[in-house]
Amino acid sequence: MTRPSIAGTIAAAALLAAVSYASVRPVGPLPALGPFLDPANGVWSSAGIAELPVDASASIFGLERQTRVVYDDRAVPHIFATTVRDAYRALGFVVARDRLFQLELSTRAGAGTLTELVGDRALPTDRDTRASGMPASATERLARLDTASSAYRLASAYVDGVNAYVATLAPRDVAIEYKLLGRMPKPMEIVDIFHLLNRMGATLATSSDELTHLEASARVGRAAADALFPMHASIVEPIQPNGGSAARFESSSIPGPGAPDPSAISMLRATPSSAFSRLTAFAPVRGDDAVGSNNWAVAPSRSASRHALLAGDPHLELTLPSIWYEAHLVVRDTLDVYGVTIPGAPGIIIGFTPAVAWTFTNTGADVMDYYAETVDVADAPTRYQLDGEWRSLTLRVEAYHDQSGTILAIDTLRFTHRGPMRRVDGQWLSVRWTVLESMRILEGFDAASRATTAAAMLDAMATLYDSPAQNMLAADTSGTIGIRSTGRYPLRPFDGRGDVLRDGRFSAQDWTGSWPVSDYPQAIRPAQGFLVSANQEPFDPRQQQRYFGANWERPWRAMQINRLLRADSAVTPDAMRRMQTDPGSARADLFVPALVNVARASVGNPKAAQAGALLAEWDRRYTRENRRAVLFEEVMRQLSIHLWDELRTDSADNPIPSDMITAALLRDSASAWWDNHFTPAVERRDALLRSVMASALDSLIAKRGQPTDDRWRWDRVRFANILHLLRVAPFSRRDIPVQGGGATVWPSTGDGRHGPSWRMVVELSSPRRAWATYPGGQSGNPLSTRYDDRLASWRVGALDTLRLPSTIEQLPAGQRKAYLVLTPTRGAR
Amino acid sequence: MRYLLVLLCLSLMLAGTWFAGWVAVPVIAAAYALARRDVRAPREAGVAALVAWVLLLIRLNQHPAFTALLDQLGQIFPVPGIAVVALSLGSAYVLAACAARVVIGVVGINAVAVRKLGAD
Repeated sequence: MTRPSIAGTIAAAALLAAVSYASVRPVGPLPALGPFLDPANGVWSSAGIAELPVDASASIFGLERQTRVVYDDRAVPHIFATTVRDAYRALGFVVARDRLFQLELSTRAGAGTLTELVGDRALPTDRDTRASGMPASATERLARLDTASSAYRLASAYVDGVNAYVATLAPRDVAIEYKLLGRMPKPMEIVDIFHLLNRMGATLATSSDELTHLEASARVGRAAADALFPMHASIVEPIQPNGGSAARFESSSIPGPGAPDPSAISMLRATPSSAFSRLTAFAPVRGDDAVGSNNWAVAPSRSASRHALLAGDPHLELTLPSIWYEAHLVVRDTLDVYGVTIPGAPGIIIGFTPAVAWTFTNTGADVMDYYAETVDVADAPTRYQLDGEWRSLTLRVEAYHDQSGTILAIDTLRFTHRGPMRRVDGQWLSVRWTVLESMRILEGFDAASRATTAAAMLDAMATLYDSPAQNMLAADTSGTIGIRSTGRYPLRPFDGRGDVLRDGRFSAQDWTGSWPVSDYPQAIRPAQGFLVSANQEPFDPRQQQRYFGANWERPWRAMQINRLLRADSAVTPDAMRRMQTDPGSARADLFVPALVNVARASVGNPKAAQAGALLAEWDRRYTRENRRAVLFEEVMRQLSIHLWDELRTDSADNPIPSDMITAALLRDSASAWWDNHFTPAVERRDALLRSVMASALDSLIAKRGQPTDDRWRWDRVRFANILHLLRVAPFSRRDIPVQGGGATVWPSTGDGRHGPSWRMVVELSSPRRAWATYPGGQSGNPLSTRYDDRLASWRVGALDTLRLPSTIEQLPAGQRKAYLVLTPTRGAR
Repeated sequence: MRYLLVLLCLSLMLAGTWFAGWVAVPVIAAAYALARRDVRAPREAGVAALVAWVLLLIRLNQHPAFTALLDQLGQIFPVPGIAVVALSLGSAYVLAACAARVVIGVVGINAVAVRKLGAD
């Protein structure tokens, strides 16, 4: 026996140890290389699972009967089950099959457990999420849920379906994101559904109007702040029709900047604006273009086919994979519902049955209030003061773990009877928020999918759905159209306003109840023959004065859609489709003539005259090829900077009024707001408008060349940017030119990361007809041809014809692309 | 005989990687070296591992998505996609060869193998 050299052995052992270490331990941003590079089970195997197999089968625990799924040529699963619970089990399975990573990431985001998936980089996000009270409320609500209720049983069925799929997964089968993170999927729990719904609430129902109003009061006084951030919109085009034939401009005067309000200053000193920002840090960041949802419906009297028509156009953050997943559930004689679901949510959120179609826009009502609390010990309170007595705080210890289970941090959360309490910059603030108290959403969506009339659907949702508040629009085959802003709206004491910071020492400051449904904004079978919502103020303030929210979304989109519908008494589905990407702008139609008039009167300012002439050439439509929208947007940007100079400081939380206020100010040429307070001269409206037009033209020429240059084209200016959920660059799609701009029906401003997340047009005929698309594709696998196959049609505003078979046989053979057979699992779980 | 043994090792590497993952590579290489007790065992185990992983990658290369995957991995890391392939194959070779080399360094080379080595 001989031995090779010891030095060689030691060198080999050292190299083996080094490679083995890199194989089992993540190094920097890299996953553990062993399982990652493994060609049978690692990242390479992702190529082998890019597409779903043409034929597949699986078993699900608890499934009552065999359930068949047929995928059509748009990769939409049509689920044919014999019971509703089986349909939900199958839905969980097919959603997990295409979108499991997204499902887990979304639910973890709501649970505040992202660190367990992606490591300590998510710790600040998780801490904010837990401090928001969302995870704790999800746990409490699940504990209160009756396990015999239909909501619980459907949720349980859905989770069984998801977990049946998770159980089939070998390492080679998991999504590429799991391989990049070096993780395996975790089984879903019912509480995850609540985490997901909370996350939606955080996206849609957070507000910090308190901050805006306080900041403005502290700078220009209470009277000016009230006018700049009014309780009611100054242009009235409400969701609940008011009988008007056009938008109404309220002529209230806007006081000039006044002396700072001392009480606002002292309140901000005690509770800086950063405190509010910190309190809502758990909510997704929303840019200027984040709000842009539209929906409208047309009664048979105004449709060409004499059937009701409905268009849904919810705008959300654009991601890959898309937030929505399209599916069709059929249970003979019981359920036939088609639409989109959110991975992790058991049910169709927006969609239609053979009789009813429905869709939502965000209401934007104020359902979140802040209270300044007085506590016993500033650093680690255990009690808070209420009506002169000390009450115990509810304490909850939260631990954060990394992927290996190591504890990264521990927090103690505190709750008053109102909700979670946080200390920010020395002040303890508690929050009451309807999202944390929502109980019956799941039953609501189930009821919607079984409703046989629009009125029944709206009534079921009014009873069962409470948060986040949504403008629910429905239409049915009998020709009824209806809308109701559904949610739970708090009644507040004293002046009833929710955009003020309340004194937590007194229970008299608490909510006193909720609005009765009869008082909600609503309309059914309107005389005008159509209904429109676009996040605008739902009431005409002349008809309803009670506080419902403040700082409402600008009504430009609502004005444009109403204008298009008023002009068309024979609306077709294709006209509905075109309206979804209509490039016209009520905002440009109001401002451009005013700017042009001022520019024409320019003497001694040739640059302003030139800018005015260029704007006059524009048809005021944000088409991709137009070269003038860029100038208008630059003028409006600079106008906002100079007009509201009194409100601007170095702070990141400058309260800037909307251009709805600017529009109102146009009628007062001598308002003190037109003055640039940095110059000794006193400017008036026309001087400021000329100045910003000249300046805007100069800056654009410097940046983009002469106005004839292609760099002035809108498709060289505005883009949609659709990022992957983990921001992985090759999985994202950037710089997609779009049609639309500031305040068009398809608004495009900001960073381009928000936009139309699902476009749908339904004709309530018999049989029903429907068209839709969304930006992305059904598959969550970036290697799949179905990952982004709908992007091309989405960007040009085209819609796909939806396949709507009531039986498998009704789907033509050429449109059947894959099959999945689900069978009951034998024996114990 | 030697080529048959290498072929056997390669087959085990294929099956081991498929069923047990990358961990099988050094384990099978060590077992191979223990059985062979030959100074050529590290190189043979390394080549067997490399060829086994090449075959597995060739199998995946049949899928249209493989090219896209190469491109995407190249952008993520960021290196040419082919470098990630090379890293995979290189790690298989190093794991197998080093494991085998450590084993023969510990247990030694048997006399027959030494004589054969001399004859070679």
